[in-house]
Amino acid sequence: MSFPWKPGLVGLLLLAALHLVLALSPGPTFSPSTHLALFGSNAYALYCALLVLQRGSGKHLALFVSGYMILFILLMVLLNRSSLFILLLVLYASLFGSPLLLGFFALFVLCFVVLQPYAFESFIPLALIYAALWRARARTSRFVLACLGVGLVALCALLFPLLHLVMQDSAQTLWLALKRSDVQSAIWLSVASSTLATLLIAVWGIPLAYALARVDFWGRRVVETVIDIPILIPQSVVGIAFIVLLGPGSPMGEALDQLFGIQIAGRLIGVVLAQVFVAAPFLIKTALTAFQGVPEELELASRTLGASPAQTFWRISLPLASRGLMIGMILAWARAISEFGAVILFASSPLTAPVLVHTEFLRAGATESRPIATLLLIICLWIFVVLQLGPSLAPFAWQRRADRGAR
Amino acid sequence: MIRLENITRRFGAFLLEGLDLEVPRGQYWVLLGPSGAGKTLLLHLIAGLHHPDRGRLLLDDVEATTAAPEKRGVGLVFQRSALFPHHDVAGNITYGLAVRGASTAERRRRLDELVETLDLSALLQRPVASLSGGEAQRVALARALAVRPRVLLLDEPLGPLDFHARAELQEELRRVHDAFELTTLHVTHDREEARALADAAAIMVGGQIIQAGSMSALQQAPRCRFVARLLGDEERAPTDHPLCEEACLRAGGRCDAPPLAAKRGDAPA
Repeated sequence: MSFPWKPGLVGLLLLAALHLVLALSPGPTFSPSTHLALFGSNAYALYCALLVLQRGSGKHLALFVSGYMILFILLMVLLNRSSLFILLLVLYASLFGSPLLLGFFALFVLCFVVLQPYAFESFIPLALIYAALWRARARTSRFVLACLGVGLVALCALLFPLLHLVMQDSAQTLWLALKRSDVQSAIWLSVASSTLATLLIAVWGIPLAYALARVDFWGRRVVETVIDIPILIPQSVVGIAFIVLLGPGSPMGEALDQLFGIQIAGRLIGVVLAQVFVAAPFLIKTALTAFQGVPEELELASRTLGASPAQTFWRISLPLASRGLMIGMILAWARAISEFGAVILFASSPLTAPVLVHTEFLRAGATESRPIATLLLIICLWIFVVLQLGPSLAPFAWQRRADRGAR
Repeated sequence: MIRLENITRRFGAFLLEGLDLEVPRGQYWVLLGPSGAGKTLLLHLIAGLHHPDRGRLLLDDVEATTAAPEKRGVGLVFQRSALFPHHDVAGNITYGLAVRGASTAERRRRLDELVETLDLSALLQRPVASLSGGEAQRVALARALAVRPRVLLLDEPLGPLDFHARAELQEELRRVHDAFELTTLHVTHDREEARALADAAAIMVGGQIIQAGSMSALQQAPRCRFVARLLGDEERAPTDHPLCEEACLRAGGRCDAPPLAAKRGDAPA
């Protein structure tokens, strides 16, 4: 189909007439120069619309027009920003031929015009999701794509508060907060205590998980259920339970204090204890799954080759489960550092970072505690990401090296 | 030498009962029977992965009934190789030596020896995931032989292989058996495999050994129709024997069905 000159010319004349009427009509519309620019961009849009009609079907044209209407209503009617409308209209008309760019354009308009106070933190994840869906579209059905898109957007909405929080404070404010000695010590305490808690869990949790994966004893199901108990108990209940057992005035707390001079409540050991309690299920459950994934046949093979059960554990089961164990330790670590309820009740001093955020909030309000919260968030996420990527980058590497030395 | 005396062991609903067998030193025996006969369980019991409820097991005249697997001097080759995925081929072969604390030189020497015998030099630095079925079984064989077992147990080692690899490895097995002066017990449900390899066979069904003897003796005088059919020679079918009938009954009356349903994957456990 050749270019439709005739309808084009008619449309152009109509457009010119419309602008002329609007410009000459009484009332405060726009200045003549704005009308001229509007006329120019509208004429360009008309040209692009005719190109669309020439290449595609009427459906494409309808799509083009509805996009135009959305832009018009949004920017001219609701926001009354004519210059932005002119700019975006020219962009829109030019990009219409490419669905990928058009999608990014739509997201851009949505985030920077509609969600303007949240522009960056909404545009970045949405653009990433759109790009991911775009790349996946050839490999799967529309239904799966829709499921993926809806799910990812919902997930983003769920994590949006965190994203928004990170964008709130300038790097300078964060740096000032980081230089405060109470913030530093709280963050160090949090990182150290949760690392210690994770190691403490690993020492008994990994052997327990291995045993549960390998022997079917009486009461095994009960044990597996009991492991989950810390997950379902409210944190405040955990804190109270610890205070009742070990706090000042309790028989065991007094006895430990008098016999060994150990005070647990309100000390580092109290923090670690509370963290061990809440984080243990995550490590044990993940380790159990990891050990169940190691074929028992490999352990039998190892035994017939002369390895004792302990040697088999160290040389076969542990390395083959190592990735799962690492993930379990990361989860436990993350759970430990995020623990707040039990810690604030049972061991409110020394201050861990989550408790510090809380006390700052009570003392001075959300704005004051915000930089500390942001710092804690960034540090946790950073360590989490590094640990997650670490083991996946180096599977079995240390084991291979150990062998090569032997040959 | 492998000697079973009245071995009995229950595995849930399945029962290995009253097994007597003697495999003399240096002989190559097959344990022949249909799928689900309990052959693999018996093999694992000899390897020490299960202990019998009753009865005695002797390996080279040494009581081994309840000995730990690592103390028995038994090599076991699994149907699906069971190579360690986090070691390469050389690491798999020397694994048994490594856990015994053998010196580097000793490991090196033994590795070279096995690589030469089994022609593995091309595979040596390969990750095990990249091996074909036949290659993996040869490596598994080398791994089992590295620790100089007196007894070699093979659990359908040719099971998952294609025709070509099967013929090749079959030859290898017999050669290795002779070269290393092993006592070998080889589990299979394939009578051709048994004929090609074995000095003698034990016929198993329903958790019981219903006849044992040299291949020719079994051919000449099968105890009952089931044995004859298993050996592919139904014309010789004699009258039925109560032992066979009982065993077949336990196996769910499978004696009447074609005994060698071409099904892979053995053992109820």
